[in-house]
Amino acid sequence: MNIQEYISSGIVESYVLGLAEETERVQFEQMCTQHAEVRAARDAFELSLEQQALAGAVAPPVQLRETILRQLAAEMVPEASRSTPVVQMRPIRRSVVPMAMRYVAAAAIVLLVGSAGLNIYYFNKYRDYSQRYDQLLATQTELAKKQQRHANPHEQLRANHSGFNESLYGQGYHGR
Amino acid sequence: MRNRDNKAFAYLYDNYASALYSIVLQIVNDGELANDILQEVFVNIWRRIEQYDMSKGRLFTWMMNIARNASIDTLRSKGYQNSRKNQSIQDNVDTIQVKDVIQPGVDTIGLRKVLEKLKEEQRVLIELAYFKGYTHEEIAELEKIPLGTVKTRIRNALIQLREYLK
Repeated sequence: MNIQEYISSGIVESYVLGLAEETERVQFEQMCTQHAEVRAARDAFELSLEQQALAGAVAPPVQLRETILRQLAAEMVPEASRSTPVVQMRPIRRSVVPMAMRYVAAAAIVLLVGSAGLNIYYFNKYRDYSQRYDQLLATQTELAKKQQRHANPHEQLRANHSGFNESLYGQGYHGR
Repeated sequence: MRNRDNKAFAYLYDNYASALYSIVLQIVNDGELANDILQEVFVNIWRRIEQYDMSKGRLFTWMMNIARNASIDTLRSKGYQNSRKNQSIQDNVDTIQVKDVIQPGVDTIGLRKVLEKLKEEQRVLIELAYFKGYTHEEIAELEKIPLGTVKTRIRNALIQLREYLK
């Protein structure tokens, strides 16, 4: 395809009106840089399109001018503040205690409350067992006393018995 | 203008707002909506002025494409379509008639005026491609014609448009 054919293929209009596909667009821009004729054809179509648009212009409502220009002026404000040095924002902290320490403190409180609870629990258990121990001790002493009372008669009997033999023996010995 | 001088933009507005407004109107055909879009167009021009590349075309062409894209985006946006649905439920057919009375000249301005001279089959494709922003593939599907035919017809229509614009 020669340049003239390319120009009259409709690519110029397609490109200018924004209807060209990506590959066509890239190729056309390349052609424009390489061929003055292509560029001239593009300029000519753009100009006729612009003249057509200006000829068919419809005035927007008068107050719209003020609204739009005011909005554009407002757009300028953030632009200006962007160029001024930015002061680093610091997060507001209610205390100077670092975050890690707060977690440690929270954990300590949880442990304290938990340990207090266990203390009460085990103290109650201790009191319970200590009472039972006292009871057992008392029972045991009582039992021991009873046992002693049971044991004593035997002992006495045995003592009596041996005493009796002794006296018999003594008597016999003496008797002999 | 690249320094975003307010006076330069006032100049730009005074010289091109009407032309751009007519481009928006040709696409959305709704005065109220066109006001909002024109505002958006100028904000976009303001924000993207650094992206304008003189070697790729005239400033007006660049602004015109911003106006076209903003208009098509608005038409295609969900919010607008929902409001259209609500409106059509409320006002039914009357809305269309009222609009025709308010905006009688849309078909007689800019590219639309030239479009009238095209053959019906070409006009439909330019309507879908340029004013509604459909891709060639979407048009092929919508009109049930081969993609190659869509491309050729659009190209031929554009060549004719150029002749009418001269």
